[in-house]
Amino acid sequence: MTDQPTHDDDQAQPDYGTFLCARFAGGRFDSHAIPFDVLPDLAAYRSLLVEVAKMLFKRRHNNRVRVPKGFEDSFQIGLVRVEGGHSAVAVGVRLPPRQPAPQGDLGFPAYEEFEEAKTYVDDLIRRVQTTGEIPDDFPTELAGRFNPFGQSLQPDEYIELGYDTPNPVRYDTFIRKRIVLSREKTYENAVNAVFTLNGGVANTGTIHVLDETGSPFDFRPLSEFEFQKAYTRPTQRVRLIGTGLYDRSERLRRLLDVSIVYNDDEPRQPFDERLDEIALAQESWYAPGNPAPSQAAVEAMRNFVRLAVLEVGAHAPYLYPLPEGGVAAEWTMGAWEASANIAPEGASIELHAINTESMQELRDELAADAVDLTARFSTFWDAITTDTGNGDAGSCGQ
Amino acid sequence: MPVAVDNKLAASEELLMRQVHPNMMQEGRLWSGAFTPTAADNGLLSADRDSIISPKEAYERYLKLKALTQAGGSWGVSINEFKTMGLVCYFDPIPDNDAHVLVDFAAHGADKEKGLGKLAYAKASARGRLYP
Repeated sequence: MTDQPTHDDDQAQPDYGTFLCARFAGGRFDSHAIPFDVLPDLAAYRSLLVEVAKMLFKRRHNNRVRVPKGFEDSFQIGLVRVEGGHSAVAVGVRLPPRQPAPQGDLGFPAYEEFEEAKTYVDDLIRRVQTTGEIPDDFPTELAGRFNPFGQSLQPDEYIELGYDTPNPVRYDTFIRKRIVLSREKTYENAVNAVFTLNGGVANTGTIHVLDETGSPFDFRPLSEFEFQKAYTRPTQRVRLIGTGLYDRSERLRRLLDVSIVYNDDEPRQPFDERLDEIALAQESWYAPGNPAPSQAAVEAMRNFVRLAVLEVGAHAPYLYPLPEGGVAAEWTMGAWEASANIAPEGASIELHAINTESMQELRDELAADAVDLTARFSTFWDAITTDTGNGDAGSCGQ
Repeated sequence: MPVAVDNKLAASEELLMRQVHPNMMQEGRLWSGAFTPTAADNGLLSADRDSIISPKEAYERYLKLKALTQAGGSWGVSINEFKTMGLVCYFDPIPDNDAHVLVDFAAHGADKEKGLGKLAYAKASARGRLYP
């Protein structure tokens, strides 16, 4: 056996035949579609195969320390279609490598270890499924690679790998947990639970929370704004959604990568990211000749949202570009529909709210740099939240 | 003259639909201004009658017109709901759209447009997207 890659025929073209045929079944997949939330599992599957292929290659070549340059890049797979009718079937093909092969005119390197890695993973899953056993020679370092693959699956969902073969293999959260815990003390799984904010450490950007039993956990929010928001709301109940590390008894040991949901009325998208999107809107986006959102309005809104959320304690608003070139912030608070519109010049903020039941209307116009901006917006916010409360995630639905 | 007694639509449950640009949506939430006339509209909000064009057809026509691959969808408020807000609707077929109507916000004055638009938005939002 040589350590040189095998190559396709003299056409030097990649094999575009089906590499992956996986049926996603149960739960959300009964709607015959694959939710976007599940797509990272496909990327994780590719990463898993890469690691298995590396192991196979090294074993085959007298435990070489490294695989050849370009080995990993030579293995790209892409989703070509999703078929309904049988839950949702994802069909993937091999793609050309991201970078030209180091062998130049020798063409597309087709390391056979990737096909073998697929078989290895299928066989491993099949063995765990039928015997509950993990092979003795299953490497410790591969166990953790199963953490991200299938992490988005709910307990009633599964993936059938090799759905186009006579002998498909079923993979679910139970199998994943079994494989990971065969070599490790903890495994990664989804977090979706209510916690109570409990202060933090400013110089490390760490937030403290307590779970429903009072057990403490720490995590680092994704941005300085999210840290400040959480830090300034001690005792507020929030929902944390993301990934955590669990032990064999399903006890959460550590929060790994979580985002904070303060209530069901706020957007999940960070406001800075949304404003960056708004700033990209082009002239004529709404109608011929209408201006693009002005930079002044976008930046004024950025400052206003920070003030509203961090100093007044308002919910993060939904944000939209205005056809006249400004930016709008909006909230629905019970029967109140409220907005804060910033005109294109970015100098003024027009507050407006109407109660859709009582028809009471509120209006105010503020200078974006007014010294009493916080106080006046606070008055506005208090008026629309007096009846509805400034609810937190303690009342969030699952 | 479209805003004329002869063109006034009788009260009914017929939906009048608005098409929504993707920028007017965030995480499935519609911008309340989608049901408020812009400065260029002179207080007359354009919409489509669902008795003449379906939500799907209206959506697909909008995509073609705006050269978009997807948009925020068809959203609707009934003539009766507009009536409860004091808004009168007028049939206004135009050369490229025989389902076209105008909802008269102008009769209430510019300072009322924002509040009325939010009331209409709340109705459309509660009903949910009609298509897709």
